[in-house]
Amino acid sequence: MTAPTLGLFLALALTLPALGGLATAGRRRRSGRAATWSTATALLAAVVLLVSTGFGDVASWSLGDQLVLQADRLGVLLLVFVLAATAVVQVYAVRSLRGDVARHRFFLASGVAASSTATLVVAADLWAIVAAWLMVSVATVVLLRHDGRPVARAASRRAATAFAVGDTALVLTAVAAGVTVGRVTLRPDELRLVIDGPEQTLGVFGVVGLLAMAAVIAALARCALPPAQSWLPMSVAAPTPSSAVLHAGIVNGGGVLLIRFAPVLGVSIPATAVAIGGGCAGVLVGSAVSRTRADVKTGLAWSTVAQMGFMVVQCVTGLLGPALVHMVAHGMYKANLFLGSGSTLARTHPDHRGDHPLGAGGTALVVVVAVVSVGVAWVVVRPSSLESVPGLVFVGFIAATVAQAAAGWLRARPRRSLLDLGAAAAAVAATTASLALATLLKVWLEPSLPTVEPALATAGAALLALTALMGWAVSAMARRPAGRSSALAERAYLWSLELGDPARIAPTMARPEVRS
Amino acid sequence: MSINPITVRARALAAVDAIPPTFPLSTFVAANPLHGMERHTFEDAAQIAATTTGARAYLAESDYRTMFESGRISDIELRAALGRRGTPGSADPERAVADFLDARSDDPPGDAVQRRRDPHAEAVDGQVAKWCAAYLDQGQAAWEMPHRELGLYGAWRRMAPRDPSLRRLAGTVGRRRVRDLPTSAAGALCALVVRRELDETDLTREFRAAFRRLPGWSSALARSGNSEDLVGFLALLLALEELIPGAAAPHSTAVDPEVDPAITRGSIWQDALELGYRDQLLGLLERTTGADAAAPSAGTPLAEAQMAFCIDVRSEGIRRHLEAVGPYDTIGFAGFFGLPIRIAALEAEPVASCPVIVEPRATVGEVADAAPDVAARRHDRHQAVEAAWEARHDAKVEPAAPFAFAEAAGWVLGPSAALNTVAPRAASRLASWMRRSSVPPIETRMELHPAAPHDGAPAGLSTDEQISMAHGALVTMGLTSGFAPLVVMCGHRSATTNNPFAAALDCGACAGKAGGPNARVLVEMLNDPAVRAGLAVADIVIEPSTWFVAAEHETTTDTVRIADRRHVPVEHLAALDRLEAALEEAGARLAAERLGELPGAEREAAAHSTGHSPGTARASAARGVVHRRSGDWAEPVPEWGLAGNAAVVVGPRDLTAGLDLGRRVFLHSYDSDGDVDGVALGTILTGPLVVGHWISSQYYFSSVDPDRYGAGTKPLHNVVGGIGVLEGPGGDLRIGLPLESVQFAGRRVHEPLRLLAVVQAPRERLEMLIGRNAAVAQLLENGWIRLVAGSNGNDGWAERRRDGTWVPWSADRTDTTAHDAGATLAMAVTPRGAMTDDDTTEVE
Repeated sequence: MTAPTLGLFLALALTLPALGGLATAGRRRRSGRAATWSTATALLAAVVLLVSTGFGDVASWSLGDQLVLQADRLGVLLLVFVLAATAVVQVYAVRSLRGDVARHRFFLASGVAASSTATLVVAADLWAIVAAWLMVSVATVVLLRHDGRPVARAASRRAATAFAVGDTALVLTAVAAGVTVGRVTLRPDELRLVIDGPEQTLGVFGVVGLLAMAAVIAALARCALPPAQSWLPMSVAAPTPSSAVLHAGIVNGGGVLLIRFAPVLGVSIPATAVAIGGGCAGVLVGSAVSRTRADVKTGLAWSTVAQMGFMVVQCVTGLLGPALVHMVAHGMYKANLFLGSGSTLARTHPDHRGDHPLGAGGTALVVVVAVVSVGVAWVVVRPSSLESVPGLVFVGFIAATVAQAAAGWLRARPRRSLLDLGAAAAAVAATTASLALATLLKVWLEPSLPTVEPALATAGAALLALTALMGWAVSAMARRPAGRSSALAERAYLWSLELGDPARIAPTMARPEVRS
Repeated sequence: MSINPITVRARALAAVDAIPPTFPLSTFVAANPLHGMERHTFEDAAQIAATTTGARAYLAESDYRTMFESGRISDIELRAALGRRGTPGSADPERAVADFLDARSDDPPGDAVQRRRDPHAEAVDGQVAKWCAAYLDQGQAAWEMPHRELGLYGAWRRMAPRDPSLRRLAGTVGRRRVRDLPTSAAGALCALVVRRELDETDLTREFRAAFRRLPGWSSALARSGNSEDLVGFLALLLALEELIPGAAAPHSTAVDPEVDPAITRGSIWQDALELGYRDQLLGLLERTTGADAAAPSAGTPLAEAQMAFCIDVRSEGIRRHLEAVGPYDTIGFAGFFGLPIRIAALEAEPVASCPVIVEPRATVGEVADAAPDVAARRHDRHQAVEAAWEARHDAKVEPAAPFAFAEAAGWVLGPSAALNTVAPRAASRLASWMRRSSVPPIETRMELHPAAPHDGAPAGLSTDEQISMAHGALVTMGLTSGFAPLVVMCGHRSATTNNPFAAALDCGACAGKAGGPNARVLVEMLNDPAVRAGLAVADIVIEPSTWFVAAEHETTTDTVRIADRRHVPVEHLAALDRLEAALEEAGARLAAERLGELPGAEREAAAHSTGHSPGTARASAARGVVHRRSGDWAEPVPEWGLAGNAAVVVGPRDLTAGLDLGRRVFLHSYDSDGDVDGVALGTILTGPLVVGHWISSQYYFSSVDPDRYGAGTKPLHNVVGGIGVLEGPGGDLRIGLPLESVQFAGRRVHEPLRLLAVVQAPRERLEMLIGRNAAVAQLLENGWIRLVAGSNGNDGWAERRRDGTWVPWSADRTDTTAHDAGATLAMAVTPRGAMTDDDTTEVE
């Protein structure tokens, strides 16, 4: 395809969702169908771009001789994902928000958020990235405000505060970089030139280091990682489709930023350390708090905090392929869970763990299943990209998942049958498929992924593993029979409950809402 | 008498009448949120609610004015309503109406009390809500609250010295003072009221005020059945007020006895509205009784089949269409078919399947009716599916597991979300295919005979018990002779997706469960020769040529399914085939009728009905639309449930046959001549009538004050604890029905009317039964239910006033416009007009 044709498709993919949303703006009688068709058309354009990358065609847009947007493989993959997620959620919202007085605001905000997130993922220039980033922030704040009930306003303000800090850092640093370095293009090779070129400083700080730190701060705020974690659980004050858009697409922006800035981060130990710290804190706090939430939606939101923490650590420890897989897969996973959150009841059941303890034999079986699954997957896939400490830690997490699933299965089946063998085979197949997918995607994305030597890869991976172990230890302590629960587990529970208490985050929470 | 833990405890339990009764989502049953105030007149209860919580019990003046201007409330009814009040100062009724309309009340009535916006009180409420949510959780949180076995207060008291939230709110010193509190709830509550120098006579009032601060959570505690936790709730709340500086609430003051003029006006408007509906309904009934005096009565051999449905208002629609389609008689009866039982569905725990006011007496199990190896294989597969869910659950929430799990599961969940959304019908077909192929369906039967006791409860029913239950059911539904060759007992269920309030659409008489299993149990009894022999002794003779069949009406799609067809003797199969065809046709007609009421349905049907002939096209498109709504996870209004319910008619079907009552009326069959001693009528008054009142009240209050008595809007629902919903991230548990059950896009769909009971029975018999039953008398005398009675329609209808006098009703004083000959009641009384998709009206 010719460059102008590609450019046209790129323009359609980036602008149509926002245009559809704007057409709905302020008109409460609109059903949102037009906005949805608009997003769906944008998705179609993005799919064309994805296919064309198979022929080596890369859509791009330059201003003068400056490259501004470039739909490389990484960009186009995320473009398709963001637009598909938004289109599906908008179709859902056409029906589920049919009676909602503020549905036009949902279509406006989700459309603009989709366009700006789409721009973010294909931005090739620092200024383009900053502009798109700011638009995402504004759209998110509007999305959360929804119909303006007090709780929704409080949630929206929370997000605005968190974003204001992150975004200010990013804007100021971008200005500083612009003044000292000139235009910064985010193509890996050109970024290299900036890093390896003459060192630019601003006072005592190196510009490269500042840029890295700003990216990390902005990413932590967008990913709802400590200390900016509270806005995300509050966001469930907005309707279900808003949550789905938020968790599928918007929060991933932080990961996109970190991947684009990966070469810069690779040479900045302080920024990497902050990212690892925030990520691990997110894993610890998010996991613990989500386990104490008795309500489905904030439980999911806190789990996203943990997932984003995990993804951020992957990003800064060099596991860019797995981080991308995580972004996309977790986005789909969470969107589904939010959209289906009305079905929670059917799946709720009291904890019977105490009734059927696994015993030594069961535990051994669990370990065997986990080791065999991961072993087979490793031998089949031979993921050379994972032959590093972070890679092995990642594989360890896969093994932990298989082990927990196997334990759950065995506890629910006191009697064995042939079906158990089938389940074990399914575990092996799922593990292999999962690892293969991550590896294949990494290979396909190779040309557009920066090659980096992360600054603190081993330490970061070790800290992540340690965090997971801590969580596991506390939960094991809490499982002790009643009365013997240790003081430590009790304190951990109380702290988790306190951190997750919406009335602490927004005191108006306890008041019943009175409309009109 | 001094204050001691025992008196304090008694006062606390006396204050529970301030708590609205609620049920957990899995067994959601309608209830009157002001149930605790039924000993007051409706108007006094309205006044108390307004003063104590700011809740309203009537619509806003402007709503009534709109109805008046549109003719929904007429001059005549307003005059009658004013006349009942004996409005002082004007003897001339015309003058009274004019004066009433000239006077304006400040809108809205009831909002006189603004809620406290004190940050300390909010902090206390927030803490109590947090602890209630953690304590009452039925397994939604992976990390269970420690020390739950100590009760709500006990667990809190045990952990409070370490609680960082208490340190944040009360400071380190304040938190240390927790150790001074007694460890028992009653002891602590006693100590706290003494410290606050509360007078013993004020305690109940104080405690009521405390419960009203978090009506949702306190009602969930009340429902959980442990009264100690209600004492604990008060102790926790008072303890936090004591510990958190500045949080001590001022003592509540006695309710102001002065009646709010807005409430007086509301009561007059509401009366007028209800009188209008009464006149329309009676006018219509009058016509049938006059014209169809010679009509065949239920049970004449003309009918090829008799079919009994639940009294649920939705049954009115399917009965009307079925009777129009073929030679069928229908009967209305409480959908649990009079069986006070628990039912254990195959592979499931037993659950009560009778009204919540009835204590189940036995457990009946559904068992596999197949070769042992087939049953065993199915059991194994079923267990494997359960284990897979368990594995999924653990991988989702257990430490270190969710990260890689999300990466793997996302690739399945993402496409499935897309399919569910873009092609909901294909998705639900795929899901049911997957369910069928993973665990193949199996033939089952209801095991009635005594078996091994299940969890200590007696399992199964002896033949004598079966005879007595079957006898009670047949007598109460008035079916004691003239059995048709086929008699169908039809329960009902709903089928919705992703809907936390699914049980609210199921059978209320079966405690929010499907009614089909009850029908199967009754049919199993009635086809048993031993039971028939027992019934014959009691003069109910069922010929061997009569066969009973169970069925289930799925109200979301208006599909009726016949159960256990393989048991039906071959000589009945032809008739059964004809009946099934008739039910198919009736269901299609009903679905087409409902299209106009479901938001966006007309438009959707039009889009799908191209290329067919207009008549069949609409019917088949309607089928498509209702099935899509049933299986669509994005659908906020799969069906309207019991919205619109307004009256209960107790009498023979002749009274209502051929009338379109717009699915607003509970229909209970009753043959006054066959119940001279009033046993059946007594059962109806204390059972179905009371349940009807609960349903009517639930819809009434959810409609007049959705913020306080309703559960909020579905897109904001956040299922909590496996028992209820929050609206958004936290706060009080919501009570009542979701907004989408009573209104749509700011438009009221459920017109709030207190229940109108129309009973065809001699007044003396009614008076005798009312005299015997204090609870029913209280509902009538306090104006919670309006009762109209007549004997066989010949000597006219009369309304029983609150003071017990009967006032004859005459047709001539009604508005004639709605009563043209041949007109149906549906459009005149159905507030659900045609619903269009883009119909978001401006509501602010």
